[in-house]
Amino acid sequence: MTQNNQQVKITLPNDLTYLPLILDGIKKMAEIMGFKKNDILKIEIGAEEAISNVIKHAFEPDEKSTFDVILNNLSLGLKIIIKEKGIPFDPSLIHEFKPDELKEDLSGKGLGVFLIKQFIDEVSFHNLGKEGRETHLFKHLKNKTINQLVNKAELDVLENEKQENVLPKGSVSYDVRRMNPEEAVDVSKGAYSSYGYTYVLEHIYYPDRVRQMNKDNTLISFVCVTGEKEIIGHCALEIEETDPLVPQLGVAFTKPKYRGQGCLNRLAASCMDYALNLNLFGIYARGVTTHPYSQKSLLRFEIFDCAIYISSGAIREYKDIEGTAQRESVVIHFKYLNPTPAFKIYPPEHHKDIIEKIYNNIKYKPIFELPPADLKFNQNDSVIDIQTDQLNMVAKIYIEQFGENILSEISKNLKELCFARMETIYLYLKLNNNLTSLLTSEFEKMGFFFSGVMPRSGQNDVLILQYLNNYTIDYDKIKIASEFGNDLLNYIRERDVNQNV
Amino acid sequence: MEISVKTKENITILELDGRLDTTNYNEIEKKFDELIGNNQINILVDCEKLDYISSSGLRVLLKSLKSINSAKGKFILCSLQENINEVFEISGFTSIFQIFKNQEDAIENF
Repeated sequence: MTQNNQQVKITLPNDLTYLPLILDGIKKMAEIMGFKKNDILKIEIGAEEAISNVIKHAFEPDEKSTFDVILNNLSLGLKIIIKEKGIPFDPSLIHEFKPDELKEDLSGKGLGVFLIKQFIDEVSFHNLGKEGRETHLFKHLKNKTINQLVNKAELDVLENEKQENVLPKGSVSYDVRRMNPEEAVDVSKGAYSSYGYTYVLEHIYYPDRVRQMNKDNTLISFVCVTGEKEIIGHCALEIEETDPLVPQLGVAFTKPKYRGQGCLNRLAASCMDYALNLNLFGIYARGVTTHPYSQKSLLRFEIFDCAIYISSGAIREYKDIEGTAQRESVVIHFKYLNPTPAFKIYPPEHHKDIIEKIYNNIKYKPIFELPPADLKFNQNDSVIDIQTDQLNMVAKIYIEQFGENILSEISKNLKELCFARMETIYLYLKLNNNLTSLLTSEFEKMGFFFSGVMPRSGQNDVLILQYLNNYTIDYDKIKIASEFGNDLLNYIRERDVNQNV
Repeated sequence: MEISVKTKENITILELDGRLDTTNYNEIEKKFDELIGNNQINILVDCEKLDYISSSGLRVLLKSLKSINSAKGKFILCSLQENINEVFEISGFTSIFQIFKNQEDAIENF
């Protein structure tokens, strides 16, 4: 096994003759990383489809050019980045291959993209404007989930822990500290016992990944440990690529019989102290809305509501709570730890009041500016970044730079994401860019509607809009804990175009 | 990829050895076109030694199936390795191709 975070970059001519060369390199990298034979084949097929697509479609027929393939050996798996500066390519034109329609259509159109999505765990396309485009493929190393590591009898014990009698309040003494590597298995068991398989961060069910992520400090786990070395609670900071200075506070659970011992309060306090000591900008959390309990816990820590993601996750079954049978919506909570001095933002005029209320709610006062009369687009192409989450069928579009083609780019990508059956698409617009004030209403004409505001480090706060792909949400089933959160939900509901269909 | 061709009664048997991908799919495409052009429309493809297939290879098989169906012939596959079978299953190919465990079983079904 090699060290993690090593990178190999290969520049290739846009000529299929060299395809075996790079595929051999990818196979070898996967072997070095410890992938099993069957997964290596899947990586090879996914990579061949993605790279051959670039060679065939990203260049003019007789153009002699090159492109880069970057192989990243990461702690959780292999990331392949294909980077090219060829002709713009419209992914929405790719026919969607459907196996169940093969009898009627033997053309095999769209089969390559279909295989990529089947065999690669995470696929994303990034438009870098003048810098070209990147296709990212990520394959997880197959670790064992907790239910593969323990036997059926032990799983039953974990399942039944819910029914155990809760111990009297304050009767258990325990320490709170960072998780030790050998405790990762207990953390995965605890997550399973508390959430079943419903927790969004899938890695939590893989002890090897929990251990590795803590080693890399991409997950900072704190645990409650009794004198008998039993792990009775857990909470963590998840450091995310989008903004490492604003980690997510999550994966919080207490073993059912130890509820009421104050574990979560002490765990959350430890996580926040840790973040403060690291001089992080802020902390955020997602409170589910099937019930208000997690939101209430966050509010106790003064982590306040700033946005609501409607339909952000797959329908989840909560064993202790009556099912809502609709996609999960979440309240985004935020708390500043080391805020920057006030800076200028350019909110769209028609949302100015609610944005001001959101900032008041999270205890910050930016400088609200009107955009100049002569707004100018960036001379370069738009730069947008798209991330998709196949588990929850959610896509996120980040606009990094507004070029003149921004509206057509967003419209094109929206069409493609709907075509790929994404249930919800979120659009992130930088509030420090005066074009946000002008263009928000244009995006709303496409069907996007208000979601909220998310503070980001580097004065890159974003206005969030959301788009539901033919999904009508029952707002009455969304449980919000705070008064402001309810006001925000009503504001969103009034603007959800799907409510008036 | 190596392609060896043999005939048994009115069946043309193609044994594939190696990889069928973007770089070599046209070799087998030509072979199928040639056979169909010569009215050899009962074709058995033995995949025992085929250890890799991507969408280019799969599309050639689809195209040939379509042509042979139109010509009222038979196009049968046999001896798929486990990995290849998985690709076929995921893509829905197992529902449109006749696939047998070995050559003997396949030949009986012509």
